[in-house]
Amino acid sequence: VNPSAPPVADVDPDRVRGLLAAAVSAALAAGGIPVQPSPEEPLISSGAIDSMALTALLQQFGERLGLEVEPLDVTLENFDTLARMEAFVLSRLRGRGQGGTAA
Amino acid sequence: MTEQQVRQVVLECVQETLGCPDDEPVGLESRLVAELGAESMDFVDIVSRIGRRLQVSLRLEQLDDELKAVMTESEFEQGLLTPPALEVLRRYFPGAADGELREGMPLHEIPFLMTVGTLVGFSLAALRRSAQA
Repeated sequence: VNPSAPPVADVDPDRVRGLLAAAVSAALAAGGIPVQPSPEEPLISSGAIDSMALTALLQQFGERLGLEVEPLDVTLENFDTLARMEAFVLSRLRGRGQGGTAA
Repeated sequence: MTEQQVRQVVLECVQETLGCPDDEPVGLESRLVAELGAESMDFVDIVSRIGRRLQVSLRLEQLDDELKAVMTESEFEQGLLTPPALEVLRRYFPGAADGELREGMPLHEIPFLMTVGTLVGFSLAALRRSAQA
């Protein structure tokens, strides 16, 4: 866990959702796909996001949310759609607040 | 697109991602993790490449869905394969040896069974879904 991470009280689901949506839209725009994806739209498995774009997204999660993602957690199950990203990120942030395994 | 063409696309995507040398042949039976050294981010890239090339979206979670359909919630939470779950896996991984697919096998070992051929199967299923849509 990034020591400069915001306290758990600051973990606002709406803020996380907005941040994820903005980051993913920016990644898609950088790849020439200027759209705002729906929550369930496949991003990786459709080819819209590749490992480089995902790496950049994970870096942003680290900087903005203080969340470091373990390599084994980088799966389609956790990151293929905005909805899955949101569920994963919120789960890890909440786990961090409860002394969980987010580190 | 023929099945042969799909196989070729998947093979190319695997080779482009993993940088397999020309003198080490990659075939449908090649294990992605054990033989080709794929890591989690490589799976992201392979699946993304296939999606772009075939204009479809692979649903690897289809396997999870099928396992959940034959396991109770607590069995799935425990993460150990039951006999009905093994039957599902035998369909997905026909090349797996009997000793590999065993009752009580942890779910997290499933990715180690994945071959290039497994990805071809997921790709063909995605193309079929796309054609029906």
